[in-house]
Amino acid sequence: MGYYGIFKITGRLDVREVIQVSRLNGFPFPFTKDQYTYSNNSVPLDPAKTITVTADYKNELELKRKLLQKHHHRCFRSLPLSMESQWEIMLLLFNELASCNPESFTFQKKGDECLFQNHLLEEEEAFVFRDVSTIALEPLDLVGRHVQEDLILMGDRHNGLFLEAGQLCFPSNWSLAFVQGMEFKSIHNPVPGIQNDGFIDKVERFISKIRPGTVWERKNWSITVTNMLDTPLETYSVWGKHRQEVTCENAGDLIHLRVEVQRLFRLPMNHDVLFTIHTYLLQLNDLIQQESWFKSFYQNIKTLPEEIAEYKGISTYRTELIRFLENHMEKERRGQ
Amino acid sequence: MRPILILSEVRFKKDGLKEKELQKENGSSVELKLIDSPVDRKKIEQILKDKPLGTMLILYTGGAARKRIRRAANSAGFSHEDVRIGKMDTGTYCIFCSQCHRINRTASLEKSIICISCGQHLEPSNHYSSFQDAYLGYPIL
Ligand SMILES: [Zn+2]
Repeated sequence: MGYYGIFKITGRLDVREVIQVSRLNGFPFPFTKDQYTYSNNSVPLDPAKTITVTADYKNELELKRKLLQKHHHRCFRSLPLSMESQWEIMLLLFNELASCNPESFTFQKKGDECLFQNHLLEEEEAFVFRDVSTIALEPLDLVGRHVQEDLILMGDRHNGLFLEAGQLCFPSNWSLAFVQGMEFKSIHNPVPGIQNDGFIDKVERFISKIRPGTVWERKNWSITVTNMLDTPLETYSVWGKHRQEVTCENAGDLIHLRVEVQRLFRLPMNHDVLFTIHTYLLQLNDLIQQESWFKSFYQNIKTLPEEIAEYKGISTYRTELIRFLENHMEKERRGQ
Repeated sequence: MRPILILSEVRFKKDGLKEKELQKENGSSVELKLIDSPVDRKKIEQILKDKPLGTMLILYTGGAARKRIRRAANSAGFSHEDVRIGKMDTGTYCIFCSQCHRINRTASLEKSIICISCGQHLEPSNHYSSFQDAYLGYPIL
């Protein structure tokens, strides 16, 4: 039975349930098949939106800014040659925020004089386009403090794509500091069984063919044993150890399905590529309330090849997770 | 295919030659220049001055020379990503500490190390960054 069922029976919704309903509604459930498959399942988006504002906006922005304040060197990196594209991204995102959410944001540009107003946070940014003396932070670092997404800029050079700037607060076990300046192809840890058949080359060719102004989206899932959005490689010793703590009793509380909605956009002016990552977390206890999601999740975890489970960091507690899911199934069957 | 210029210190000549053969097989137009240590920035600028636009530099040098060449290259109009570091058989490897970003040196990628800066126990991986010229070290819990 899903949350709507509860709503019907009790006839009223308390605050926690309201939040749950909206979270389940907006959650980008990633599984489309009842079996594990790995593919570059990108789809074109119409309208071409690179970002999304959700109910968690204020909380996530607060967390993001705290991390940037405390660990700036970890969360923001840029090469000098990225400046032009950074400006383009700032303009693009301020524009998009305002045109898609006019009640929450406004953006005006007269000549090069720009004014962005964030009504949700009661802030404004006034600056002159491409004049660094009018902004206190680099453009990508500034605009990133008004969107929930992590932002990565990939420079499209004649010999490949390079990570030239990034604001990354919510990574799933990787380090911006290590990969800055690297070529797209070598950024990724080899995915087992996938490097061999030229998969990364295919993805790179795909990205290099994206036409200006178009957005492609894919969903990437993983599992975290914490409700933290910020799981960088740099603090692995803090959050990684929880993987040992999962039992078939506490799995519902500890385990979260983590989905990254990743979007690729070709910048029309500079022809570089903007990569946005919006991260969503859903606690397993919430996930299993939605019967179709529960079934699909169970089948995917069950059929996950061992090397992929290892790659995604699930191996340590996979047995406990499956037992938890099967116990739940048994309870449902008995109508408890 | 962009033209390639390999700059190699004499002590890394073997690695530089290997790179040249490899690039030739790939069909690139490639030139190898041996340079003396310590590197003279003026000389490097001279070499780079009349290279065609889009030339890629691959360096087989030590760290000090690399810095000087990068500076010379930048003032000659080369961007950061036009300059690559070759993989050298120096007998030592650099390990990037994923916890504190310190680069540690080690003789082998097979053995775990303790980061000299933060004390974290690290396992070297084969994930290599030519930008950092280092392999990523994962924390061992
Ligand atoms: Zn360290």
